[in-house]
Amino acid sequence: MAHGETVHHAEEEYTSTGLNHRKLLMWVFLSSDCLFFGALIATYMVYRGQSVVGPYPIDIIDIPVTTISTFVLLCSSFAMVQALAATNANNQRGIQIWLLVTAFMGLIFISFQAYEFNAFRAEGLLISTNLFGSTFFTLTGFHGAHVTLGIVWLLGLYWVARKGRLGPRTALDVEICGLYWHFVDIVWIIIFTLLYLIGGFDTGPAAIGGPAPALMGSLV
Amino acid sequence: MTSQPEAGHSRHPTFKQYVVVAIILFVITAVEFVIIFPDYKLGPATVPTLIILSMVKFATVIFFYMHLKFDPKLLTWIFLSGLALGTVVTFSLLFLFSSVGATPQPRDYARDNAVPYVEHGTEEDKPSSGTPPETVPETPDQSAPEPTTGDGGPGDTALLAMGQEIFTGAGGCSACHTIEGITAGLVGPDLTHIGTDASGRISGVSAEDYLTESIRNPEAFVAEGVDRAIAGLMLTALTANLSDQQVDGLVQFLLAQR
Ligand code: HEC
Repeated sequence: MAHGETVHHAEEEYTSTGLNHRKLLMWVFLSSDCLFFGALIATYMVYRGQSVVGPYPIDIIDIPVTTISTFVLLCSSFAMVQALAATNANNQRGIQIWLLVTAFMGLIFISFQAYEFNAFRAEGLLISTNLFGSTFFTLTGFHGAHVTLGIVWLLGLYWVARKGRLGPRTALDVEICGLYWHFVDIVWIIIFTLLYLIGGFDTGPAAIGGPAPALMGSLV
Repeated sequence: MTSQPEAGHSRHPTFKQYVVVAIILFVITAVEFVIIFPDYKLGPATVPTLIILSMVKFATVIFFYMHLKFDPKLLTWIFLSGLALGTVVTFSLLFLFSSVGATPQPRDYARDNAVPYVEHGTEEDKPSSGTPPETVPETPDQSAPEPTTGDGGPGDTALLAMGQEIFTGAGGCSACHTIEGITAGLVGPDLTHIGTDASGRISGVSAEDYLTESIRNPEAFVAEGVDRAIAGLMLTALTANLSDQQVDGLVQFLLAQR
């Protein structure tokens, strides 16, 4: 590959928006995915504090453990931008390593989630147990599905990279995957704040807005 | 090559910028954790603070990691319009399902029908709660010598009634504590048998002193081996406004929970 191509990219086709169509499509999809997650988050918030049987969030939500898995997901976003930087710099080894690291951290995150779901099940919370279970598992489950899809995508890219087919010319392939991956990260930022940091202390309905309205009531 | 703007391949942040962004995200997450664990440290400001912090993280990721800051503005508008729609949908649903005008309000319904959550493994503890309320005649017995003298000694039924009133009402205790048949809070320890349990909590400290201290100064110590005895949830400020007599009433009321 010629050196001159590392910064500027050839084969830029003409489009009426001046934007690459694949990248544009990705952003349109992410934009619509906001609506998808918005609806699921709204459902969780609407039914928050309305379960009539336990376990309630405070009984089972483990904030320290989830904070660790949140750190891991944030790290994976950093690895992802490094993978893109390596692609733009045509650093073949870097591409492969960073893609693998990103996928691996995604896998750790998913393992944490599997552990969490299993612990909840052991405590008696199933998707059918109460409103908390239904809305919690639906929301975090769909997020987990997004992460899983991202991991498959990353491993696919790694496969392509091993064949030496990723580089400045094909950097868009990595960039678009990165957009998706970072989006999954920002969705988690919101879920982590609402369901864990704020909602993790919710007790049964007897106490929501009861014990300390100032703490919990401000977001019901 | 066309003369188009370098769509999709505009400047990317440098390595150093990426590292700085990563550090910012880390620090914010750590701060969020510290703010809420093991207890909310900022009082009423906690929830707004958390929301603002997460919005900062959100913006940092989309503008730097997803390099919207460096890309054509159209992409930002496309994404923000979806985000805005999603937010509007969220708040509309919250509003539609909120209690405006609804009777009974959904949350009231839930509260009236809620079943306290019994954690796993507590089945074995059941026998103790199954014992008949032998204590009922016991309390009047003790109070027989000086009924309703108001001297604050054990067995003062007026005091005891006042204690119960504070516990279930203005004191707010019922929001966190369960006393079977009376209240069903699930945040703090179960106080159903606190009258007997209290004397064993700290050796050498009488039940009465232990309870007084637990109410007056809950932040000073935490009972060991007690379910849901989470430090820092029961704040001293909660009981700072209670008079000594009111605390006495609470203690008498709790001592009667055997
Ligand atoms: C915000 C929730 C909350 C409220 C409101 C609350 N408590 Fe507590 N309480 C706790 C927690 C958590 C503990 C365990 C940790 C500790 O001792 O600080 C506790 C501990 C206690 C204990 C010691 C229990 C034991 O098993 O040793 C007593 C007694 C007690 N509370 C009485 C009261 C009374 C009386 C009130 C009302 C004035 C009250 N609490 C209000 C949460 C609460």
